[in-house]
Formats: sequence, C-alpha cells, structure tokens
Amino acid sequence: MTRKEFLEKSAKALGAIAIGKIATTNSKLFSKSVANYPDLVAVRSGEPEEMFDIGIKAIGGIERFVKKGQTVVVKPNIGWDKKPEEGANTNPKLVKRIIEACYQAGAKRVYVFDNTCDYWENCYKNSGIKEAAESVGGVVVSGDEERDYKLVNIKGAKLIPTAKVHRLVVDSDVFINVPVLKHHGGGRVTAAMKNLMGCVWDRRAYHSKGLHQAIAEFCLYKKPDLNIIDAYRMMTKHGPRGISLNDIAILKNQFLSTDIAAIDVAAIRTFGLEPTSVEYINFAKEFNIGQTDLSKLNIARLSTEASS
Amino acid sequence: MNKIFYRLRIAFQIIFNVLFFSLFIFALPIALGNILIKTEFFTLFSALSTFAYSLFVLILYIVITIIFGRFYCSILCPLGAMQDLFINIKPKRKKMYPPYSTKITNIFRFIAVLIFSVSIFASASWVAGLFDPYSMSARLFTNVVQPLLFRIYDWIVFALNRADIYFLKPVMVNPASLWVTLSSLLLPLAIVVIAVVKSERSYCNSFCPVGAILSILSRFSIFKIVIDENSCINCALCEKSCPAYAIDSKNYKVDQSRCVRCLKCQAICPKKSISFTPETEGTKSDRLSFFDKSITIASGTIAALVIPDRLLRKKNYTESETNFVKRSIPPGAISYKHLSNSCIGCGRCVDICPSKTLRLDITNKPYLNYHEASCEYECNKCGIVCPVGAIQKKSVPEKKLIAIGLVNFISNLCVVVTEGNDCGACAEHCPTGAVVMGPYNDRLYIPVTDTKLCVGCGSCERVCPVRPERAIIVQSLKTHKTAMSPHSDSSEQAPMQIENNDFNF
Repeated sequence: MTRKEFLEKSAKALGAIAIGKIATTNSKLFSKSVANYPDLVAVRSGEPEEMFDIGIKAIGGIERFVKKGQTVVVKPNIGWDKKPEEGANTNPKLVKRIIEACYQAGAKRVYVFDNTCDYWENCYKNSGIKEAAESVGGVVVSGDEERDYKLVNIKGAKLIPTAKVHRLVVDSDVFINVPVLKHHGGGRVTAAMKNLMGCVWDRRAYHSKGLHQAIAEFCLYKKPDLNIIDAYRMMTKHGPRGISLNDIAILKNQFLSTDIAAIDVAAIRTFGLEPTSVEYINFAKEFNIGQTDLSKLNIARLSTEASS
Repeated sequence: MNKIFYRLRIAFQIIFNVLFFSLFIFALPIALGNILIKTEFFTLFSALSTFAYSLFVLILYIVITIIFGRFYCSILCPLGAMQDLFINIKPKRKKMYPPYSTKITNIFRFIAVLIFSVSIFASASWVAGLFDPYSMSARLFTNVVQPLLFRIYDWIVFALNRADIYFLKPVMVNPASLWVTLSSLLLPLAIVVIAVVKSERSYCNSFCPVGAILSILSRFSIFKIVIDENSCINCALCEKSCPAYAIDSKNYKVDQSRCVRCLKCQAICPKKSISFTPETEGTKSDRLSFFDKSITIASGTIAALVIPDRLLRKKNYTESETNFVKRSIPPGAISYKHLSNSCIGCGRCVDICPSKTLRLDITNKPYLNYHEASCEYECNKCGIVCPVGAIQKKSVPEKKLIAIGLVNFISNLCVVVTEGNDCGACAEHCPTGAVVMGPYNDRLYIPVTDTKLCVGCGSCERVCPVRPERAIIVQSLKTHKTAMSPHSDSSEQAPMQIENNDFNF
C-alpha cells in the first residue's frame, strides 16, 4: 500500500463512518419525533384553508415533511372538466394553501399535476386549480404526455409489476397526495389510494387486470409522504364524475395522515361504508400498506370551532 | 400613381393572408378566425341557407366584381396568395409564352362550374371542396403545415421541460390519417408547383370553381385594364409579367375574364400606357365567339341556379326511425344528409377540437374517433367555428342534449363477467348517468345503461379496457336525437348540507 492509497482509503473510511453516524442520529431523532405526532388528524367545520392550517400543525407542521431546498410534488385530483362547486376535483383553495405552506417551509419548487380523464387543459382551468396554484408560484405541469412517464418496477406487485409513473412522482423529494373524497362506480369510494392512479400512464391495465388489487399494489412502489383528503364537498353518488349538484354533500371535513391505508379507512367510514366492503382496503391489509384498524392508531379529532 | 394601387393591393393581400394563415398556427381568438374564414367565397356560398349575412356579403362580392373585376382573387383568396408568393420567389421567366387561348380555358372553366354545381345539387359539397381554394388551403394548413410546426414546437417544449422550465404548454398534434395528409398536401402542392414552374396562375383560370364563377362576372366588369395603343411601345413587359396570361400586347387586348386584377402590368409598364378605368369608347373590348358566348351563358346559368338551391335547402331533417351508421358525426351536424349537404371539408372543426376526437374521413368530412378520445361534454367549439353551418352552432346546454349515438353494452365481453373483477371505467367517465353501476353477483358491480340519457360522447368506449372488441360501444345515429336531461328528476339543484359534530370513526 502506497502512502497515496493509504490516505485515500482512510479518508473514505472516515467519510463512511461520518455518514453512518449522521444517518443514525438523524433516524433516531426522526423516530423519536414520530411517536409524538398523531397517526391521523381529522378536522371538521371549517374552510379548506383553516382546516389545513389546524391539521398540519397537529401532525407536526409542514416542516416535518418539507425541508429547505427540496422539490415537492402535490398530486390533487384534477380529473374532470368540472367547476370547483361540483366537487369532482380537489378544492383549489386547499391546493393553494398547501403550496403556500411548502414554499414557507423553504421548498425549492412545488409542482402540481394530474393525469386527467377529460381534456387536460380544460380540467386544469375549470377546476380552478391552475389559477390557484400559479397564484402562489406552484408549477403546473401537464400529465398528458406519455414521454413524462418513467417505467418503474413495483416490487411485490403481481398485477402491475411494472408501471409508467410520472417523472415528478419518481424524482421529487416530497410527494403530497391531495385527493377529494367521492363516490366511485368501480372502486366504491375514491380517496387517497385511488387518487394515485392519476400518477400512472396506462390506467387500462388497472381496469382490465383488477382495479382493487392494482390500486393497492401501486402503494408498494411509493407511498406519499403526506396524504390530505379534501372532504369539504363529498360526492355521494354518480361518482367520480358527478352529474348534478344534488350529488354533493357539504361536509367540511379534512383528514391528514402519513398512512395512506389508515386515512382511506377513515374516509370510507365518513362516506358511510364498511371499509372491508371496499376491496382495495382488504388488499392494502394483505400487502401491509398501512394500518387498517383505526383502533390501533393515535387519532387527533379537531374542530375549527374548538380551536377558535 | 400607377404603382400605388399595385402596392396597396399587395399590402391588403399580405395583411389578410398573414392573419388568415396564422389562424391555423397560433391560437387566434375564435371570433377573429370566424370573421377571416367567413370572407371566403365558397364558405359564404355554402352557408347561404344558414347565415343570413352570407347572402349580403356574396351580393357585395358580386357587385364589386361587376364593377372592378376579380379583386377577390388577388386580395382575399388564400391559395392565390400562396401562388403569388411562389411566383415572386421563383426566377423571372425570360421566355414569352404564346398569348392566352380563350377557347381551351373556357372549356376548363365550364367543367369546373359544372362539377361544382352538380356536386352541390347532388348533396356532395365535399367534391366542390376538393377544388375550392379556401378548403384546400385550410386543409393544407390543418393537416400538413400545422402538424409539422407543432411537432417542432413540441420538441422545444420537451427540451424546456427537461430543463425544469414550464412556461410553454405541450400541444396536441392533429392526428390526420395518411390519406388525409397526402390529399391535403398533394392537391395544393401540384397547383403551387405548376404556378412556380410554368403557367403561374393557371389554376385560377382552369380548375378553380370560384375563379370560374367570378370570371363570368368579371368579363363584363365596368372598370377594365386598358392598353393605350398610342403610347404603347410593344415592349411586351406587361404580357410577360401577367400571371394570368390575360394580355395580348400585340393586339392591345386584355381578357378581362382571366385577369385577376393583380395590377402588375400597370406597375411595370414603362410608358404608363396601361390604365385601370371604366370602359370608354375607342378601347378594344374582347369580342366573344359564338362558342365562348354560349359557354359563358351556360356556366352563368348553372351557377345562378345553384344559388337558390343553396338558399332554399331545408334545414330540418325529420327521419323518425333510428338508423345506425358506422361513424358518429359531431353534435350539431343534425344528420348525415345535412352534413354531406353542407360540409365543404375544410377541417376547421378538426383543428379546433381540443381532444382531437374529430378526424377527417376520406371525403374530408368530420367523424368522431372514440378509440383514443371522446367528445368533451362541456365543449361546443366545432359548431362555433364551422363556417358553413354544416355543424350548427349550439350553446353548451343545448349541445349537452344532442344524442349523436347511443350506448350499447355487450355484457359477455365485460371484465366484470369474464374476469369477475370490478372495473366501472365506463360509468366513471359517463357524464350523463347513461351508464351507471348496478349490483352483480353479490360483491361486484356491472354497468347498467340507459339510452334515453345517452348523448353518444364515447367516453365509455374510449376507456373500456377490453380488447380487441370493446365491451361498451357507441352506436352512431344517422340522424341525431334529443337526449333526456340528466337533471329531469328534480328542477332545483343544490348540494346537501351536512351538520356533523363528530366523525364516523
């Protein structure tokens, strides 16, 4: 061993130790802090922004999820060419507030996209999300280009072992899932897990191979860092598109959780169904996506009235 | 003085045509586009039974042509502008061609008018649209030039996106079929190539139906191009420069019917011997032979007969029985009969269609391709832009009740039956509730259809995952129907207010 080699190797070793040390201390800090936060936060009786402010504070603040200089992708439901009051898309006010919060936490860039069902430009515009997001500096990106989707392997998935996933989801540092709670003809209820179908290019595979299992299997690829369910307006029938305002119930609820299965169980209960009657929850349990038994969780139930 | 009119004419032509062609490339406001397109002779003519103004504008054009001649050809015609552009780019011709032959071109023009009129009488406007300069230019731009430019633009967007820059939006490239692309390219290309290589504006005096009709009027125009025999030095510059081969400088004759009023001769004449004035005594007017006279009268009569036909074509088609056809036509097109009656095949509807559900078939008429896209429920743009009323303008609420086809669910192909899986993609996308999910075999849900509510948008067919044959399809209606309103169950629409003081978990 020459002197040069020795120096190089020892430098590398020192570096490795240092990195390991930092990693362990950080993870310790992290796990310690997690224990203090509720697993699920439910907020009621307020405007979307108010409920978000209370909810995010309760779950540990946006700083828990977004660190300085990170890129964030916010994935709302912008699937339909519908107006905000029709409840088919995520509430634009909520999306706006989330983006603002991310930038306040020092995010480098906050992207917003969805693989829409109707023509994407009309969906982005008429849902009010494009305007809301851009007004606070959110970067609105088309989800309509196949070239933006990267082929990924999903470990453990049987139906969709590979999928084309939008590169923003693949590459961004932080992934925030912001679905709207709705009735769904095929999936019964659409909330957090179902919303992730909008990150995938080929939805036909889901429908032809088995919708429920595919919905659960996608979570094996990536779970969002934070899920926020918009249940301000809840579509009670004719979902996910809705036909008239009669399909909508004004509920003024919002749920926040890091556990995508737990938050969906809460959403399905809110919708008025037994979670076990929704097949993808059973698959989520089977694949160990998250906790489907709410009694085992630390839930914070909040109201804007109580806090004010 | 002589050059001022020429330059003014060119200025108008450039301004108009730059605007006209940018229509197909940039997102100009729809209202402006409509104004530009509705100045075109053939669209006005085809819209006679639909838009009241078209009769007035057409009469205005006829009056202008009778007074001044075919200025339409040298200012408003887009294909004329394209030819002029290439004529100006190409090297100047040195050789002099023999002067015009009235006889031959008159026969051509007669045939052009005949084809034009017969196709309109026979409810096949698309045949006339094949040779019409506006439709041809529009198709060239919609199906060839625009896709080409949009592809290049799309690469730029792609590169910018990769560099994390998002201020440009990706665009949808018009997915024209090979046939449509080739036919849109080759016809105008042939005309332009002929113009560049040899006989300049010969199309305008042979195959162009608009040129043929205007030439009948222009022959008798009050203002004429006149060569002053006294000052003319027989240099033949005018004859060489004339793109329409209308000048016989040796005999001081100008064929007013061929002349497209480009005013080049006036500008080029070194002795200022050519004037554009009302006919005065002493000028040699063109003597028509018996043959020419009869052909002119015959084509004039035919053309005049077509106008009342266009004006009085009935708009209501009441075919009560349900007739299914292979392909759906856009909402507002009323029926196959109405569409083939009026559609001139310019492809404007395809250009504006946001989801590119509309495509052109081999006769350049629009149809809906449900395999990759479906008719956007909140959109009524094709009816707004159609310059001839082949697709009638409908407000969005009106359009939402037009059934262009009816849903047909083939249960034994559906994945719910064949695989025992939940799917519901069709019901998910249905905007009217014509497809909903109903219970099936205990735990599953299966599509249940109601054709009374169906508008035939094709959302269900587009998203159905079954291949090769889809389990839910739209059967296209030959004559459109009125669908039942999805809101008929209750007149007032309001969301339910839920007061909850706790959570359900």
